[in-house]
Amino acid sequence: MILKTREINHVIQATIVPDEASLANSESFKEEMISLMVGGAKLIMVSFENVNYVDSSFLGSLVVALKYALPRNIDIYLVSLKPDVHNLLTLIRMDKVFKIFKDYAEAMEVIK
Amino acid sequence: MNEDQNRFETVFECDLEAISDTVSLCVAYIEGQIGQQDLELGVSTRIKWVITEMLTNAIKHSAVEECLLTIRINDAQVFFEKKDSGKPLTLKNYASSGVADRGPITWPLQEEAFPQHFQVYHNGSESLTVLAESPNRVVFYIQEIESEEMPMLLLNTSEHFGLLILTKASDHFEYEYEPVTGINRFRSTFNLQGS
Repeated sequence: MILKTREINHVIQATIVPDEASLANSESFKEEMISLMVGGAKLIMVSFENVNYVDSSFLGSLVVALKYALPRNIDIYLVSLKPDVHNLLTLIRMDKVFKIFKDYAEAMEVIK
Repeated sequence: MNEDQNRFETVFECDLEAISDTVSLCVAYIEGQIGQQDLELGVSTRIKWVITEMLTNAIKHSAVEECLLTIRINDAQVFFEKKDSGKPLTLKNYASSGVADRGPITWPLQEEAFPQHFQVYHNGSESLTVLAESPNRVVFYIQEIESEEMPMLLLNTSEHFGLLILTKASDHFEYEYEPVTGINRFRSTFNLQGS
């Protein structure tokens, strides 16, 4: 499993377990995200707190997941991005596509 | 592995598990030559992104068992090259609207005159374009376009980020195909501090 999940007030908090989010686990990540959405999730907060590095394959899976979510009125937030990970998202303008928060607490605060 | 004062070569075996160690090996050589403290803030990170994307692309797209990585350093720049004899780079040629696909680009390029510009990737806020000055070599660059808002921004964003990262993380990124030998060369250049 790539994601360690827990549900709080109908929100799925999904923490990426590996420290590298890459081609090696991008397909599994995508499948687990879609499974969560098929299972009824309406908001998934994905935490990158363990992730030191992310590559294009994983970012691609993240975008595929959001494209799956959008027409189903499901939202995906990103939290706890380390500077290099955040910088890579900014480089390819994905910071304009995803809602990004400092951590789970800040993300939970905005949906109160 | 072959190393001298300003040049480093190593063979990457196109093994997913070897990406991280190979990136670390290359970055350690560069930092050893230049000095970590002398690398402009962010250059080291950009070099890591580029090497990782090049190695990932080798595994995903080249269909070869190994490729040769070369690093050269001078006072002003770091040059990184990945060389292999696998499949030539696949590029789609999009119309300027980003909607109509004008089909794949094949090598050598069949255009009657050069230079030519092709848009090969498009998202909601920028366009990845190649400049071809000859039939066998292209230089990648970014063109800013009028930014869209969500959700159109997402809908118009491709999930294929590899070439975009390579282009934006490098100060110069190019691809060259050698038709006689079937060799592909991907080259990234990074400008050093104060250069």
